[in-house]
Amino acid sequence: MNTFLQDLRFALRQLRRSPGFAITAIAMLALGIGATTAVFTLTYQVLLRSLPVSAPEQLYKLGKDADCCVTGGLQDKWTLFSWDLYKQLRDHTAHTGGMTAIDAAAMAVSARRENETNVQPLAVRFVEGNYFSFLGVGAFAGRVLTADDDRPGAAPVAVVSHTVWATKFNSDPRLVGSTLLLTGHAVTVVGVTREGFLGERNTGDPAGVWVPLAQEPILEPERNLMAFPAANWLDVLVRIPTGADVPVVEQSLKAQLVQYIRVNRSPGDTSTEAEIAKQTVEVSPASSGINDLRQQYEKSLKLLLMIAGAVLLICCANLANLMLVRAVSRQQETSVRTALGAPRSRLIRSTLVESVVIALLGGTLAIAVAYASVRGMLALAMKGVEVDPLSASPSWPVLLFAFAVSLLTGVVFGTVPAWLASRADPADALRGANRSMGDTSSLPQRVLVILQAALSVTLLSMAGLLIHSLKNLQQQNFHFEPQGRVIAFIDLQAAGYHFEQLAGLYRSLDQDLAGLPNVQSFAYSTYGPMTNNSWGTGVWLPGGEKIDNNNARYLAVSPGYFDTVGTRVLLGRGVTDQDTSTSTHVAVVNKAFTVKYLKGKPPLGEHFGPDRAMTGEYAIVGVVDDSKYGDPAAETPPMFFTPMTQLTLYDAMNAPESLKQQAAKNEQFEHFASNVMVKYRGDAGSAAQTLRDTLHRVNPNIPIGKLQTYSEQVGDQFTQQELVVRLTTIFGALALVLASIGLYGVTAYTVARRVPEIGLRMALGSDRGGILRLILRGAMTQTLIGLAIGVPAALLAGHFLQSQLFGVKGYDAVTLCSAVALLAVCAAVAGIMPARRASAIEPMRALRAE
Amino acid sequence: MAERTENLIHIESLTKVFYTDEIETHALSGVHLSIARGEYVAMSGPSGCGKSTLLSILGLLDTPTDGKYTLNNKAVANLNFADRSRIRNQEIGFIFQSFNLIGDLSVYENVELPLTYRSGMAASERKDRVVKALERVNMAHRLRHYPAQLSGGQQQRVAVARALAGSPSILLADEPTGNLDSKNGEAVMRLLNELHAEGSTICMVTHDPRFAAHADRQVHLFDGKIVAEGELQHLLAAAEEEYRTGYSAAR
Repeated sequence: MNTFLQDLRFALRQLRRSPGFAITAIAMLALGIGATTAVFTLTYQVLLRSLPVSAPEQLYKLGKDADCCVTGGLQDKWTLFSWDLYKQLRDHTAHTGGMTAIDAAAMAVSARRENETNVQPLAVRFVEGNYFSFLGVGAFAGRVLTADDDRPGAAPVAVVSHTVWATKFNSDPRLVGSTLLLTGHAVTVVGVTREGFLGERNTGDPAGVWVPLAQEPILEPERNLMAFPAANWLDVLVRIPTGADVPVVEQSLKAQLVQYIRVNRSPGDTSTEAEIAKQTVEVSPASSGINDLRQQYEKSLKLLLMIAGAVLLICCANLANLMLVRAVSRQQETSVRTALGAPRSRLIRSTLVESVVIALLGGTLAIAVAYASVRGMLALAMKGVEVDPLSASPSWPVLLFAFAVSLLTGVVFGTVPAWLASRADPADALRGANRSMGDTSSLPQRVLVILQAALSVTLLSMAGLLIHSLKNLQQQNFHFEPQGRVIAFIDLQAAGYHFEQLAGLYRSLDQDLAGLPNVQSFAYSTYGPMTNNSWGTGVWLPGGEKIDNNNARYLAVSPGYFDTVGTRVLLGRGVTDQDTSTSTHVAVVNKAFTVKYLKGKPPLGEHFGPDRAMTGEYAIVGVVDDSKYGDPAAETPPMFFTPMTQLTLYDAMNAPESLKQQAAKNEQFEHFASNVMVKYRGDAGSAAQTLRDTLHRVNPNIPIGKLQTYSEQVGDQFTQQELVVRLTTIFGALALVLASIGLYGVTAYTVARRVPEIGLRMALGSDRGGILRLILRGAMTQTLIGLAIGVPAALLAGHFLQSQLFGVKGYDAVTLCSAVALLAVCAAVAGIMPARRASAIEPMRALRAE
Repeated sequence: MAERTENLIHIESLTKVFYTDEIETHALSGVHLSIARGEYVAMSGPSGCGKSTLLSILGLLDTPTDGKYTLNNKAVANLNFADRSRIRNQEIGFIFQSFNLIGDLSVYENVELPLTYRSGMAASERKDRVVKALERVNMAHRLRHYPAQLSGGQQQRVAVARALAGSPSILLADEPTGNLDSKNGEAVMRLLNELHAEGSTICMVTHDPRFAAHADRQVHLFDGKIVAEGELQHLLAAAEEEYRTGYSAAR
């Protein structure tokens, strides 16, 4: 211990005496470890962090993916469940430690406290009464929900999160016990959850008000999913006790599911016994909750972690190079130590202690780098999010990670220089410092530079591919026109509207928006393009023949919709004022719809319907372009658009009464416009204000979630890709700079060591050009070997990246050649500086140095 | 002067060959040498005669190509690196021509350095030895200084203290005055004389006859062989006789 402290003291003193070396090494590692720690900070919070609940490791979610919001029919692999199905699973599945059901979708409501006029939007989630006891979460104030609160007829109550209590209600202790009006419905706040608990979901702006499921029909009468056994809308969490066999639980779940489907088959159900037998429920670990962020960011984070690791490796290679140079410059000292009897282990330890000290100092600084970087990343990734579940503050696991990476870096990249240093010949102590010494370090140094070049070209190529891909994504033809439009996101349910009131509301909107000087046209619809939302239904053509995978997305739109959003009408017409509630039910279909379902038939006048018994429901009156509504990287699916004024009647549907009722309810629900779009003249800001003022004039209680230009709305779809591209580009540039510094350092060092040789060559007749070429050849040879390794590595990386690319192949020659050229130019610049210095050496001075 | 009763060092038929590409260089060829405990031996000879190679082998810094080497009655010619390090640390004290003090260590730490390589030595004992060694060379008052703050003579005295601190069986000095002016050189030689008088065994490489004259016995090397060996007065007498004989013959 005593000698270890001596080594430590000596290392610190050495660093103090070589501030240039110390600062360079520490700064380099701070960047490398900082980048890795920054990505790990997010990775930990998105993928690894457990919910702050009791025994989170026992939590599992039924179904692999997090789906939203309502599904029907057979699902094959079930992720959402109806209330009735859930009860069957909860009450009859063996080997579980309990289950709880949660509404998969949060509900946006306008909330105000009783006797106050101030209205604010709140996200509410319906949960089963056992939710808090199941998770083992207690109250900070008051109490949490109980099973008694979740009985039909029970007094309406709610629990709010500590965050909502603090941010929306100013930590008012009187909130508990007070009445809150949620979309006009009075509920009593019975408690505030303990601090840090944001619900079972890892997502931005998680719902912070929990209401028992039994209140769903009251708070959402238009939806009332509790009453529809065929509607699957609940996420289910299950506890599987430690030691229990997960596959056994899955088998039991499957058995219950299949039994439930068989028993509850409706007379019109066309599914076969084989299809039913195929139905399964898989369980997925949910210790980190129902993880929306995981689904969104997992691939990107893993990619970024890999890239940051590569940058760290390049930093470490530079550190190792510096340590090697240092080891060589201290060879005489090491020889003396060896001559005095230092065992090799002590010599290695002494150098290792120094590299570990550097790495730990770098790691300490890296925490600040990581903090700043994560803040930057979150500003982009969580733009517009009020309650961010992710934080830039380093947690204990992040600190441990940084410490472990630093330690590992110090040990791994200090070992080779330490070992080489320990091989100093003790007889050199007798020979003295002026005798020439063997250059044992130059080969490892060259190997490290080759490694850096290979990694750099790989990262540059990856960055190039991702930039190319993002550019393709952003500059693709979306088949609608975002320019010159603004879009508002509204919630009519939250404003307390019932279906019957919608026609009046839309009339008011039409009147108020028409004729405004800066409004060229306007429209409203269930959802607009690139909002990532639409409804789904089956498509049946006359004749009733079943088509495989006969799904289509559909929306209700107002007259003038296609003109307002800039979707081209290719054939026929769009939805117009002629389409009234009493006129023929019409639909406008997109091109993909005609390709899939009409197969070359002239579309205008063709009929189709949402059910086998309703094939004449819609007459096609127009065909529009395939505007993007969801994933910009995916093909637009078949879609159709119906007039907001027309309501599909499901009386003729070949299904039990309950399903018909549900379909009719859904149809009404689909007519609640979520978006209002305006095509404006002049300034976007004033157009947005006009729209805001108009909505406020129509009804000040209509909550406006977001109001922005359509270009911003489209831009929001690329946040994740932009984040990945920005980081990859930064990492690629960092790698390039570090590799260039590495190459420069090694070349400069080589020149310094070869001064006498250069002098001799010049004395023997070599001209300055010859010396320049000699040194440059050495530098470029390393780069070329690096490229020879890096190009196949880049191709391999491109192959693995392919699934995340759009419109560009993983082996894009232009990108790869650009990366190679960029590295070659930087290497040439890094090499030419010391080479020019070498060629300027005066031969006599060089020979005197010998 | 200590009574010389036994050989501390005994080498027999020692050879050292260096191989560089296809060239074979015989640095030492069949060297026989014994150094008794308490003896003060000076080795001299022209550049490239093998003095430093012999000193390297004596100091276990290098291994012979062939021959026997016994140190303190133990055969040490073919020991591995770790064993040589250990014996070097415990039995041998080095005094280098260029002092070889470590610039980043203080005087105290430089002297302490070989002791830190000994396992099991308590810190208090190390301190005791370092202080005694520095007192012995009159450098105790500079123990917090760094080598760069000392003169050449002072640095060499610190180097002597470092060699003494481990109480070695033998002090090997390689041109200990080579980097010093005459005044400081004389001072160092006086110090070595005193150490010898106190019982230390010393083997010193020098090609300055004035300093070689301080030793009990001189060994002359030429072309890797010992060409003359004896106590100083015998060598002087032999040289005088040779001169006289040569002079008579010439007349």
